[in-house]
Amino acid sequence: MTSGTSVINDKVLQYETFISEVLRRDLQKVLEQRDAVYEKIAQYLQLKNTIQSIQESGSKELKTDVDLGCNFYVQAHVPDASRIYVAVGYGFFVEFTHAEALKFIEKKTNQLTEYTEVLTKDAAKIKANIRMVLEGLRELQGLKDLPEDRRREVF
Amino acid sequence: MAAVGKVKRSTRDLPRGVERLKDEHRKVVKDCRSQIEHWEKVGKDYESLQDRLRTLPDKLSYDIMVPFGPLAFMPGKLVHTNEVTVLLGDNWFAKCSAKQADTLVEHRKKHVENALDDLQKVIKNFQNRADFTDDLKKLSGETGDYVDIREEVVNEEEITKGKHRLAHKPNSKPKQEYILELKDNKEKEDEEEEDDDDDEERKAKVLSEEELWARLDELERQEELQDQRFRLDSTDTNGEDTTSSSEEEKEADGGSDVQVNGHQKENGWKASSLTAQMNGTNGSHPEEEEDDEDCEEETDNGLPTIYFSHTVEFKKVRINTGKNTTLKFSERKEQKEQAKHKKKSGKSSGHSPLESYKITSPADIYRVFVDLVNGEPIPRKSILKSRSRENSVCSDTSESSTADFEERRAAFGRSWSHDDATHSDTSDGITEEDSPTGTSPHMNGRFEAFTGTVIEKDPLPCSIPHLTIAPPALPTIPERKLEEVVPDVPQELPKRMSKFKATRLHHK
Repeated sequence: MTSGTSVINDKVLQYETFISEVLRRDLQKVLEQRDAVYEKIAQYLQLKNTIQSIQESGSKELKTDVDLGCNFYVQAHVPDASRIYVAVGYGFFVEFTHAEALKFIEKKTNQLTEYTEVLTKDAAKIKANIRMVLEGLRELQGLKDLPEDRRREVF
Repeated sequence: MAAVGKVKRSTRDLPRGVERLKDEHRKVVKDCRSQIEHWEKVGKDYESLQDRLRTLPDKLSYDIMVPFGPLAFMPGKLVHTNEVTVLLGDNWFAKCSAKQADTLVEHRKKHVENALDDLQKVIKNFQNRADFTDDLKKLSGETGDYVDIREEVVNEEEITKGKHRLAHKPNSKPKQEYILELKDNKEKEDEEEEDDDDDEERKAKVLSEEELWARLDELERQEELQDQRFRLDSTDTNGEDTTSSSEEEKEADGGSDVQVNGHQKENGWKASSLTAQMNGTNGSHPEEEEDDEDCEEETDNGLPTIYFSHTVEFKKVRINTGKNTTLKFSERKEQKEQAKHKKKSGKSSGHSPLESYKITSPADIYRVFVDLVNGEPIPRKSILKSRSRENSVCSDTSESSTADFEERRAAFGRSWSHDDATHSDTSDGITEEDSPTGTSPHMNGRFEAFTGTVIEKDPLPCSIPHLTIAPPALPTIPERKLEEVVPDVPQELPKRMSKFKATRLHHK
């Protein structure tokens, strides 16, 4: 009996460390990546809005304020606003017209949305694994749940 | 004491409290460090901005890629390089030159520096606290100093230096504890001494209280003694009254003889001195009384010349009364003599002249009987005389002993004053009669008695002969007793009271 109890205690410790150090950390990383992707999507959508506003104005020349840092702004003049350089990834910028830029932004946002969906699924899996391990610990420690819970498990 | 208590409490809570305290310190330090990083970044940004502002006005325009968000650019130019728009906060903007913008940046940098300094101070304080908690652990003995020191030395030099200092501290701290213990002991001893002082003070108070009670008791006793002395003084004054009355009687009996008068006076003075010695507190009173007596004597000397005429009338009365009056006079004389003897014996004054008087008194009695027998052979009269003597003795004792008589005299002060005058007149008359006769003093005394009795009892002789004529003896005896007793009391009382009253009147 003493040896059995000691073995059980060791197993319990192992499972608890696995949950806290592996599963929970993975979950945190996945969620962080998803947040970054959402931020990226937000930026592209903002750019889309600005381009649409420029098209509506229809003027070629453009005046704007440039941020030097810490909210200090200086006036800037754009003689030709028909062309715009857009970052396409990995530090590369491509010169687009307004219409082309809008198409690219649409495609990019769709791709990013799909990636976020994948990350969400991964997060769900990790949560499920955590749940399974906790159930195992419960059984090892001799804890019992209500019968309703058991039925749910069966289904 | 409080410090020691605190230390003890901390030691009890060391295992859990110390760990929790350390955790809290660590959290605070981490927060401060993160804040420091933030402010350092801000500082760097402002420095780069400052450099840019200083160089920006150098050219009128710069060719740059104008950013549209973080993902897009457009080719363009910077224009109006000396015009800078600054965000002041709450969507308020200010337009100013590059130099003005530079001053704004300086102001903000100062703010950043202050924030950094404050955070640095906080970190130092919490590090010191962490060190203190480590020292507590070492003091409690949970960790070995030797082992800790070695590990620390291996880690870093700075840490080792600090730890060396820590190593010295625990050695000194227990010494401090011992010192505190010694101080506590000293304080306890001081407290004990203070308690002893309090006990001594209480004892002193108790003694003082006891002394106070003793003094109160003594004062009460003194008051009681004084009361008793006052009572004795009053009794002594009674004695003085008796002495003065006896002296007056002696003077009257003596008559013109100078030698006899001198002896009597000497006796009186001695008695007064004895009374003074007995009553030390009342020395002044007898002196005053003596003075009063002297005055009375002077007045007596002046009066005799006036009363020659009155004596003639008295003689006529004697002739009419005959033998009956003579008997009464003799009885009164005997009573007076007996009273004098008693007073002398009471005073315990043993002198030859007094003894001679005592010896003379029985002789006088026998002479009285002889004279009576020779004059009148009737035996009935002899029986009546013996009974009258017994009555007189009783009356004398009652008068001398009781104090009620004194009170009565005081009450009747005014009335007795008149009696005093009458008695003084009678005494003067007696002296006048003595001088012309020139017989012995005893015989002179008898004549004097005759004169006094005649005046007082004129109506009585009419009734007396009827009684004597009747044969039954019983009814006559009580009548005579009553008659004899009643006049004696008022005669003596007024004399005694008269003296006091005279003294009072003279004083007034």
